[in-house]
Amino acid sequence: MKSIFAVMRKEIKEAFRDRRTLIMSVLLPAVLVPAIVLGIFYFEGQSVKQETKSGYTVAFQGSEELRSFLANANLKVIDSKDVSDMVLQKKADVGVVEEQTSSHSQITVVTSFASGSKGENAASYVNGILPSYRELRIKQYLATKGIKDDVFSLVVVQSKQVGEPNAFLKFMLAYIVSLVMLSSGFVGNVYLGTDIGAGEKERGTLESLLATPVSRFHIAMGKWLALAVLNSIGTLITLLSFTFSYTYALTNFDLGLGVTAGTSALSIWGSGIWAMVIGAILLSLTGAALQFIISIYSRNMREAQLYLGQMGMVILPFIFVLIPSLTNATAMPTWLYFVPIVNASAVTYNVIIGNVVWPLIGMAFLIDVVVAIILALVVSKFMNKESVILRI
Amino acid sequence: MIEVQNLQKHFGNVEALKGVSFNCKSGQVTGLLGPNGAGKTTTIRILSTILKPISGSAKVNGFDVVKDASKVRSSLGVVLENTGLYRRLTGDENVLYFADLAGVSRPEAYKRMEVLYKLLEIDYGKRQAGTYSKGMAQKLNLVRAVIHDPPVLILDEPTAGLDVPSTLAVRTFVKQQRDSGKTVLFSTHLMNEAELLCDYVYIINLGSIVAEGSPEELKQRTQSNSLEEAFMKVVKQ
Repeated sequence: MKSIFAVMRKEIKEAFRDRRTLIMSVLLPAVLVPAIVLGIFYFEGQSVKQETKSGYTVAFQGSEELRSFLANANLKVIDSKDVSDMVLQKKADVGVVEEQTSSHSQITVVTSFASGSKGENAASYVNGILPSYRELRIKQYLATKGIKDDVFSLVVVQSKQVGEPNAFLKFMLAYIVSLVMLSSGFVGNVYLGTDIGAGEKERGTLESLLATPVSRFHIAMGKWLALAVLNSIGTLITLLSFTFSYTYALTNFDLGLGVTAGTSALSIWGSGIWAMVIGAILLSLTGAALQFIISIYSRNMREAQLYLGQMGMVILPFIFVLIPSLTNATAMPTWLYFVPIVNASAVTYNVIIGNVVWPLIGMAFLIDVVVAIILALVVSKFMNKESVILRI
Repeated sequence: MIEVQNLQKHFGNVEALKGVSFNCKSGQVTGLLGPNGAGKTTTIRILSTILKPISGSAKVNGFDVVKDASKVRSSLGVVLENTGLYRRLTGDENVLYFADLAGVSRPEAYKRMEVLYKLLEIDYGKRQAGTYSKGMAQKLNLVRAVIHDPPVLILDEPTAGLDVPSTLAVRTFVKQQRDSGKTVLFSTHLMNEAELLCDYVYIINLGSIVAEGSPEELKQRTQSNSLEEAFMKVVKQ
């Protein structure tokens, strides 16, 4: 055990003295992640503000009555003989065409397949106010027939939202955090991974290390544990800086979502923090072992970086596995706890949304530890293979 | 003591060792001389338990390199060719790391470090190894290799590329180790150095031992004025 900790201590000490490691694992997550998140949300907020201020432009063809209705609804109405063309040319955000027949008035809302979010928002806004126009016209018609308009009171439809305000934001936060965790914990900290195996070969220190009385298994375990600890720290810094900047941006930059400071759905204190700690450790155990295997197999650091960079592709299928839980706003399914790597994300997601099942978390932890130890054994076998050690 | 019997090793179709046998006695510096690609490094890697032989046997301090690999490594201090230091650790930390791996207690390690630093004139142990010159690094490599006071020392080209003061320091160190009764296997392709340091030499060429004896014996046998001349005559045969 002493030799395992000696190897682990040395690796951690070396990593903390390496400027590149500090920049990649501490400085970038702590500075760059918040800068990106805050930047994106700030510009999105500015865009929403601009949209609200300038309003929507409508290319219009129809009656004066509908024209006035739209103008009174804070829309900028431009008369046009070819509404579709104006929408296609992006001279208007949306088009409205009213055709009068002998029996009724036919209103068509025109949007382009190529319209951006502003066009879609404009169409949604117009579609939202047109029922009021229809009601207005029907009331006018009934008045001409001498019928009271209280028929509209026969059926009153209203909507009501129950539960915690902005509850969906919690699922959104859980999903994004679990994805950031996958990318950071599994493929992040690549430099550390390359240094711990291929770096030893490149510097010519591996053979001296293998000639010491320590067993290959102990060397592998020490290096794996060091990498797991360093990966956990890096992942946790990334997650915390992401989460704080994300929640700050949502509550402070007006995105039109009605999110204010103190929105309980975005609170990560307590179980949220624990979820990130548990998830980061879980993911780092297996992630570190895989990084180590690739690193020790590689000829040099350059080759290791190439392979480890490709490892990012492995997480893509998992991203899709996680999507249904977000779209349905439900907990991650139980079977995910049994799949190494992705179970870290599942645990984090479920704990953030408040679905804490300790036996399952324990099971996931156990599975990941067993898998990681098997992988560490593979590394120690690799260290006994001449074709791997001398592959320089 | 090192006993090597009929050691064979292949790398694919390449026969690196074709039945090498030799012995190294305690209190002697035994030279393993040969041109590049002769099989010196492969032999040393087998003795250090980094590689396994295909056939034959090798014992270090009485322990078999295959069956008792861990005990062999405990008995060995090895400086391999092109060995590096951990650049971000200080010299002291490099040495103490290897002391920890060998199970040497900290007080004992500090005591030995002090003696060895004095012998090799090392006063830069507090500096990060990345700042060392080749000679400085090699002297520290020697300290790192013997911090656990092993009875057997294997040195593969320890003076390659070193300046004169560093080379002299390494030679003094090797002599001191021999005088303290250790078994020293010294691999080199520099014949003048072998002549100065080695009590007995084995000349290896194309994976086989082609000659052995003390430097004086080899010179007499080949009617040569220097070991270099003797070496060339043996290798060309």
